[in-house]
Amino acid sequence: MATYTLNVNDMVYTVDAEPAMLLLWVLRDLLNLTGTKFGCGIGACSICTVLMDGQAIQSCLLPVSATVNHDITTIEAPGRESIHPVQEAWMKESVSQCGYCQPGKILNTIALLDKNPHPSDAEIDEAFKDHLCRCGTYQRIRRAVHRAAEGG
Amino acid sequence: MATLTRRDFLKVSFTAAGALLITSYLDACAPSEATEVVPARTSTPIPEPVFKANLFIRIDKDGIVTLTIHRSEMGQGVRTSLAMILAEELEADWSKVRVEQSPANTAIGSQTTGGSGSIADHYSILREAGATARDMLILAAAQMWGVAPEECRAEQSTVIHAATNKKLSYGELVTAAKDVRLTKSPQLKDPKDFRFIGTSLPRIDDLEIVTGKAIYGSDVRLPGMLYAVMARCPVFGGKLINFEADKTRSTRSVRDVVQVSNGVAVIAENTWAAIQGRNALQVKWDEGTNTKYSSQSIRQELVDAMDKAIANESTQSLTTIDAIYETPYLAHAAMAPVSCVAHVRADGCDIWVGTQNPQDVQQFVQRVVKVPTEVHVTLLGGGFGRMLEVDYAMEAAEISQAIGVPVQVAWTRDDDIQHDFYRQPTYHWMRAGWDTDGNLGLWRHYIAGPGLNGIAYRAGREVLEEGLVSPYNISGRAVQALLVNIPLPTGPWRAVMSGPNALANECFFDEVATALKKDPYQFRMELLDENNELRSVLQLAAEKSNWDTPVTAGRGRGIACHNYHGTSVAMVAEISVENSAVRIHKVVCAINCGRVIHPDMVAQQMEGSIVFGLTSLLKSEITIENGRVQQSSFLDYPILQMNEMPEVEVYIVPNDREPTGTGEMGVPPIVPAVVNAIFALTGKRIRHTPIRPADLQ
Repeated sequence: MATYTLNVNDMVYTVDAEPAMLLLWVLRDLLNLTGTKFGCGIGACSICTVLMDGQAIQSCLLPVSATVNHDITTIEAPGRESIHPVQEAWMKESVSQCGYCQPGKILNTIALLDKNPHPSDAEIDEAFKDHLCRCGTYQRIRRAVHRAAEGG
Repeated sequence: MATLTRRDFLKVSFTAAGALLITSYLDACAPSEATEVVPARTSTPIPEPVFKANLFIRIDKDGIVTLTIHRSEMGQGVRTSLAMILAEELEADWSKVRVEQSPANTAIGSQTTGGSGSIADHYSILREAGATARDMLILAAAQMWGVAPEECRAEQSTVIHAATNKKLSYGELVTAAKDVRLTKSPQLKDPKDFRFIGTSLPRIDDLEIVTGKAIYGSDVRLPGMLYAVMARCPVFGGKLINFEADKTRSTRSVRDVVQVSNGVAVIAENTWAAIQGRNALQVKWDEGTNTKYSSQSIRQELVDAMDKAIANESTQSLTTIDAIYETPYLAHAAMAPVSCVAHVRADGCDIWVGTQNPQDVQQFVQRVVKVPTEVHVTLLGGGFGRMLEVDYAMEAAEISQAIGVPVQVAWTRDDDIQHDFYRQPTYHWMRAGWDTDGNLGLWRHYIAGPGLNGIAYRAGREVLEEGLVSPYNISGRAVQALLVNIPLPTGPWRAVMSGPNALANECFFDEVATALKKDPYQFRMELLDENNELRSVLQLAAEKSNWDTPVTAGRGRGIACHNYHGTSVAMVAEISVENSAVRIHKVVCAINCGRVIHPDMVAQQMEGSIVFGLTSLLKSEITIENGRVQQSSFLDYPILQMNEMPEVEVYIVPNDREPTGTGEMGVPPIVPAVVNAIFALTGKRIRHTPIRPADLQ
């Protein structure tokens, strides 16, 4: 057990955790930031996606020890003050059905648009490889990414 | 009891705080026991039959209208669309409408969310409830102003007297409404005046969802709550012999290890530690007699039952073709694995759970814990039928009772894939025959398969018969369902047996059309009765897909349709085949579900059903070996990905009859539409799911 200082959503948290404890469970069970969801635990569905220094990562694969001195962003951050254009686009395109996997997809879109402000359909598909949704919202995710690229 | 109209089952009353409350009982039959749901200080002349309410509408003095939703939200939008129906007749200001999720309550009618029935079951009663409250508020205002109620109208939660330009908000009128007596039944709105019904309002939970604030079963956090994972026998029906937990107990943050009826629970301060503890556990199982089952042996049982049933079938001197269609076990694989929080105390139990079936959760948990149980329903991270079962709540309750603190039982993905209640495997024998003039005079569809053998959900032959009868007007039709009992757990899976039966019916119909050199669309239209709603969707899908013009070179087009619980859906799929793999380019979908409450949610359900059906056709199956499921993750039970998503167009047939459902209705037609398209392109007839690469080589 070790003590870690984590930067999550511009806040500083101190947690006692095993070095191997995965970021997903640190967020959900130690920090009660439950917007980040569990889907598979093996990096196959990507619904646990969070941002580390702006890059989309699968929090179910990343040990807490590897997150020290990095900035972690979870779904609780973007809408905190005012709704983020990607969240806005998600609502305008009525993407969500059950909604359980959408936090990871919204964060993945923020990371994608940061690198590539106007992705093509093929680039969106590539960015969402292994991002699963059982409700089948894929067509609307594509539309929402394009809409967000245009400003929301 | 005198004959009561439905409206008589509305009951108007006031809470101690002075809010107007409307409750109702839905079922047409006279209920038997009295249930006092609110302090009844009613003074309305509306009869008060002894009733159980299944609908609670509250209007508070601040004007907030609250509808208690007793059905579960799993993405189908029920919390939004039910509130829209109420707001329509109530003439409510949408910004003042709220929904509250009802806990399990045996006094409020069925809370089971299944069969795509929530809109169909509540459309009329919600309209009547809304209209009753509206008319009472109008009458209250009219009496205060000393004018005739006919001179007043309601708009945006306000009653207006146009002649004097007087206005009072609903909140201001609630107290006065207590003393009004409605002398006539409220008039329902003319649909041409609808403001909400037929529009696509934002989903009521959307902001919470996109900001991560929406609470699903696994997001519930209680003071002092611990987290548990279970070790269960991998062979269905196996029993625990013993376990060795020293290493588990010394795993950091593990708090306890307890034996419960379904295996061994590892309880820890967080989910990760519980999983580590389980990894360290040594468990010895008595795997029992079910180890003899494999996919192969189960299939053989179905084949044997079918062979016996068809032994004496004749061709009746007609030209006949026969075919066998087959489907495997399927898991639900909702993105949220099942999860449940239980807090059992000496005098009571609270359950927080994403469930499609809160009342059964309450009943079954109470049997385990033997104390009064309250079930709080969270949002569901997908349901698809899995959350109709009660196993995971019973397990959580048992663990919490054993350790005496609140506990969340987390299911990992392998738990979810390996301990589901699966869609049952099916084996279909088809025969069609025609005379020398090409007139069909024989149609057989026999299905063999297990029934449903879950804890809360059990069904025999009747479940196999769902969707078994082909809709076409063919003389000499006969069907048979052969129940083969296999003791592996099965349960309702989106569209239940209509999926496999529509595959067999609609693909075999295509085979017959091919043999008779008929156009698959025209042949369907020829053999459907004039008044069959399938005609309307076939026509619209054919038109929107340009069925009568040649398809792009290198592509194939296929059509299929199905009616499920009163809703007709037809689909035209356009596909190509590259490197032995099918690519679905486009799906044109037409649906006839009567009056549409929320057109965009209809489209969402069709898009979702198409993805769900395509996953079963292109991607995944559950196989059994030695009595256990061989798959355990999204790697060996893959689901459709974004780059495989076809372009989907959804068209709605305008129809003002009472609404029917949409949640499952797109699953049955998509699979045969694609299979028929593959045949049109390649001449290869696929008669099983999922498609294997060898099928297209």
